[in-house]
Parts: sequence; C-alpha cells; structure tokens
Amino acid sequence: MNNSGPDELSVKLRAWQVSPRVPASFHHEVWQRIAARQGERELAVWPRVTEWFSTRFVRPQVALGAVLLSLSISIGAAHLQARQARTQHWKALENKYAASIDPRLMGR
Amino acid sequence: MIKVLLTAIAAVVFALAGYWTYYRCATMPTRSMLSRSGGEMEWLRHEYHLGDAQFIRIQKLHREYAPACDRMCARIGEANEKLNRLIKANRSFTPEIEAAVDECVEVQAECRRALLRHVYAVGAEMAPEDGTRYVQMMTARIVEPRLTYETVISEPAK
Repeated sequence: MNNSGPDELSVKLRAWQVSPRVPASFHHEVWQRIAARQGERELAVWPRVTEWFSTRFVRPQVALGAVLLSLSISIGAAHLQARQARTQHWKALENKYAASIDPRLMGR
Repeated sequence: MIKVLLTAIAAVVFALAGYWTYYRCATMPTRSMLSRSGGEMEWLRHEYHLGDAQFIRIQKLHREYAPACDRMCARIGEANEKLNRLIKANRSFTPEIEAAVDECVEVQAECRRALLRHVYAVGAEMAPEDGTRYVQMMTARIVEPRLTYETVISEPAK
C-alpha cells in the first residue's frame, strides 16, 4: 500500500491537470458512428415486421380470421368467374341449338 | 414463425379449395348441358320457361324437322361443292356456273323457308312473350345480322 499521507495525495490530485487532445478525425468518426447506428436501425425494420406478425398470428382468433378472410375473397372471385363462365356457356348453348336446326350452320 | 407459416399455408389451401369447389358447383349445370347430347334442348327448355307438355310437343316438332334439316344440309353441301368445282375448272363466267349459283341460291332459300316454318311452329307452342322472343332470336340469325340495311347501305345512298 502507499505510505504517503492523505495530505500528499490531496496535493498531488490538486496539482494534476488533464489536457485531452482531440484527434483530427474525431468529428468524422462520430458522424460515421451515427450513420452506422442509423443503418442498423433501418435494417431492423424487417425483423420488427416479422415479430409483429408472429405475435399477432399465433393467436387462434387472428389466424382463423385470416383463413376466413382468404376463403371469402377466393369465393367472391370464384363467384365472379363462374357468372362469366355461365354466360359464355349459355351463349354457346344458344349457338348449339341454332346450329341444330339451321342446315346452313351445321357444316360450320 | 412456424405458426405464422402454417397459418399462411392454411389460408392459401382453404382459398384454393374454396375457389375450386364454388366454381365447379356454380358452373356444373351449364357445363353438363354443354357436354351431353341434347343439351341444347335442355337450354331451350330453361331459356323459354317450357312446361312438360310444351317441351314434349317441341321435342316432337324437333324430331320431325331433323331429317328434313339433314337432307337440306346435304343438298347445300352438294350445291356448294358443285359451284366450287365449276369455278376452279372455268376461267370465265359460264352458263354452268350461272346455273350452279342459281341452284345454291334456290337451296338456301328453300332451307330458309323450312327453317322459318319450323321456328314459327316452335314459337307457337310457347307462352306468347317467350314465343315472340324466341322467334326474334332465331329470325335475327336467319336474316344474317351482319347484312342488315343499316350495315350494308352506305350513308350517302340512304
């Protein structure tokens, strides 16, 4: 242990002067670090999105809702497509009937 | 994350299955009418709201008309073939070609007359409104809709 008394330590501490020297590239390095942190934060958006989904979709009600929603959308699309197909079929049947009684259309 | 993936897969599978099932069921009647023979008569029955008795009478008319229709179809084919043969064989408009053209026109006219008679007979078996609609639909085809006065005659000539 140090044998010098507390007075001597106080004197030394009082006499001690710190003169920090700022390196020339200090400003540049600081801005570089800030830019790097911001980049990391932007990159972290995707994990946050997946985290949001994973926390929401593990709930049974939300998962069931998503399934029902996609089912409704697909049935709606099928309804529209089927209506169009039925109209086409109906027209084709009309043509088929006309061709069955019109000899001029039979050979076509 | 696995749960999210499973939910997404379930949503897609249910959506595809729902689409396929609904589409198949909704288009089944018309698809089956189109694919089976005599589907056009079923179409006529639905389109013109025919009752059983009406449908039976119209089917009878159709059966009676069918052989005459087939004969006319064959005659039209023969007349057209004869005209084509003569056109290929001659380098100028000959009396034979003229006769063949007349024959084609005569066969076509005869065919139209028979068809119109049949159409009016079928229309008469239907309810008045449906009968009128049926005759209009068929005559629009018989008169060749693309060759009406409006489309053929130029504006200055009208």
